[in-house]
Amino acid sequence: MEALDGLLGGLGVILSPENLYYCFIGSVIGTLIGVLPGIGPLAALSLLMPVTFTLTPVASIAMLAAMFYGAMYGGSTTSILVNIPGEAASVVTCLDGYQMARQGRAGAALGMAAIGSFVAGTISLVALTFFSPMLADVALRFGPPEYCALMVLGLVCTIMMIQGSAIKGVIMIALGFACGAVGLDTVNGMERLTFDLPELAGGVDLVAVVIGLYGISEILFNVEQMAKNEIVQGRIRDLMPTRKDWAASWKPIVRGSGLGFLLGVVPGGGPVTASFMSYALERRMARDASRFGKGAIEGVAGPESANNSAVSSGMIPLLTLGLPGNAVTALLMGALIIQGVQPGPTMITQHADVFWGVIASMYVGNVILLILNLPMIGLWVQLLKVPYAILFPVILLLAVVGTYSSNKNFFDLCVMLGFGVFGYVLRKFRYEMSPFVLALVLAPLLEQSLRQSLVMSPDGFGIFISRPLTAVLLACSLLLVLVIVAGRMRKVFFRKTDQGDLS
Amino acid sequence: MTNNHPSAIPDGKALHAIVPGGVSAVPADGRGPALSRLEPWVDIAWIAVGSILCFYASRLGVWGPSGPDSGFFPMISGAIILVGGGVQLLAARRPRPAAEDPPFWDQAGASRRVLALLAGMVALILLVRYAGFVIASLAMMPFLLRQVEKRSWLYAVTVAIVATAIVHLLFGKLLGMQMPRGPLGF
Repeated sequence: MEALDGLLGGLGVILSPENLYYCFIGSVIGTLIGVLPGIGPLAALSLLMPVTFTLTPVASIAMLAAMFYGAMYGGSTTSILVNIPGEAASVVTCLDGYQMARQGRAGAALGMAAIGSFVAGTISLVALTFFSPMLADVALRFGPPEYCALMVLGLVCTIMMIQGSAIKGVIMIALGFACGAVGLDTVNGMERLTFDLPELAGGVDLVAVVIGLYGISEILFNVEQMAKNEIVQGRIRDLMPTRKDWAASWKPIVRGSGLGFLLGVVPGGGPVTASFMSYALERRMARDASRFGKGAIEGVAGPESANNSAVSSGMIPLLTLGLPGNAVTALLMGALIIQGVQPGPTMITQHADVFWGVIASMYVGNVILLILNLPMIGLWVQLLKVPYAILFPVILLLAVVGTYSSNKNFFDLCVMLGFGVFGYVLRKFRYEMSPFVLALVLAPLLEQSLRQSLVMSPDGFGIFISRPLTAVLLACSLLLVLVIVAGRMRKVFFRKTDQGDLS
Repeated sequence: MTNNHPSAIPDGKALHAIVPGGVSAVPADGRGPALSRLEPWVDIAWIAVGSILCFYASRLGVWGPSGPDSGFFPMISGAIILVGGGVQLLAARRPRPAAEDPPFWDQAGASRRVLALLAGMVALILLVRYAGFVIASLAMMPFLLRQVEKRSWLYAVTVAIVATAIVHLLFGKLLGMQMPRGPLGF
């Protein structure tokens, strides 16, 4: 009942004209950035975050969150019609969505993507509504050692979820920690890693770093890869799926919702992993797996449901524990803190209007997005005709304005450009940027909880073993590390055996 | 119809070859050194960064009477980067199949476009500092569009004016964001 009362209160908050307006604007911008290739949700969120500084906390986070899940809806449009993922979580939708479009079934693919996203988003939201207060209740009993262990487990999960090299992921996390340590030491006020630059005394600006890593490096990548692509011709019709489509899709939607929910909660998971894993699951469960990649509607319904479900459930650790699970929720956490709202177990009592307002905004946003993405699909298709040569100057100017307006200093523009080049080069070598951003945001929290734990401990690191929950969390982390190491060693062993057999 | 956008995912392309962010890592006609030949330099850079961090952290003080000191966290970070770079450097000796080893720039004209864009961005940021957003944008955008897309001057200047006006009016005026101002007040 507490959850229902809270949700009703939240609906009262979000249905005020101002909050509803910003939720709508966020949904429109989210769909737009999802549709337009070359700008992902994280880059757009960081570019527009300074705009929200003047808004109320509810309006600000409702708008930013709507941009995030709006991008999941919009991302499928480009995947299906142009074979270009509008954002990373829609990559797998290209495989079957584009084939469906080529077979004249673009309408069914777009319709199923939107409906699947709506159903999964709503299922995940219902779980978020009822699960969050319970978790927040438990989290109230957490002290610094528990938080420290939880963050360690989260980071280990992040490494586990990395699709490429785990060592590269670990390096990015360590680098994120180092950047997060720049500035004044909060415990003794000593300057660290500032290299006598006064601009670094306050730390490295998160907005400048994220705009650089995701905005500038993306522009560099896309300008490098410019190529001519075919948009599927013809009018988009028959958006409502047929009975046969429904029969084939409802199970993938349910499975995608569940998988997405779980992977959204797990740190390092998020919508990208959820969509890839949902595709793999559907392919494995299909009676005839050979249909996949040739226009199977399950290959659209499952991943599109999973990515939306993961977005909603990704809010659980952020709102209840104050711990972001991926780079976007890390940015949302930054936005909340700037607004004077500390996410975590006390948020539900101290800022109930923000907590429930944000959750209610996601219900409302899902309805807005269904309307935006079904009857108005033609409008978004027209936007696909905008050449990247026009888009990239606008994105670049936005990056400059967004970075500057955050702190009004030019040094941040240099940081933005530096991290843009850094991200561009490292992405070439298949380094992932999300662990870096996550570590950058978590670094101060982790360091603070670690130092607090050690100060309050009579026997040094023994505090992490003597407290049951901390010990369990750290044991899980250790187990996962062993699983990662064993997996890598097995790969190396089999590679050597193969080479031996060949020679 | 055709459209000028970042590259699409080729039909039937394996998922592992797709880089998140909408760009396909398809080895093409090979321009510049292969990534595997450059990667050891990245690892050496990590070793250098890790060493500097460890050295700096040791000067800050790693452990004090009440537990970890200011240098504790940078020391751990530095040590991880140092060891990670070292492990990668050793692993880099293993030869890779040619299909998994594309060149740094795998499309014709990619290096020219990227370097021109970078030069333009540096100039844009410097100009923003001294001339303000509007003048910097109007001065640099046509150059960038000409260099990156090889469009006509008329097209480049028109896009620059429209893009600058949209960003200035939408963000500077409508949303009230603080824009970098020059001596002329805009």
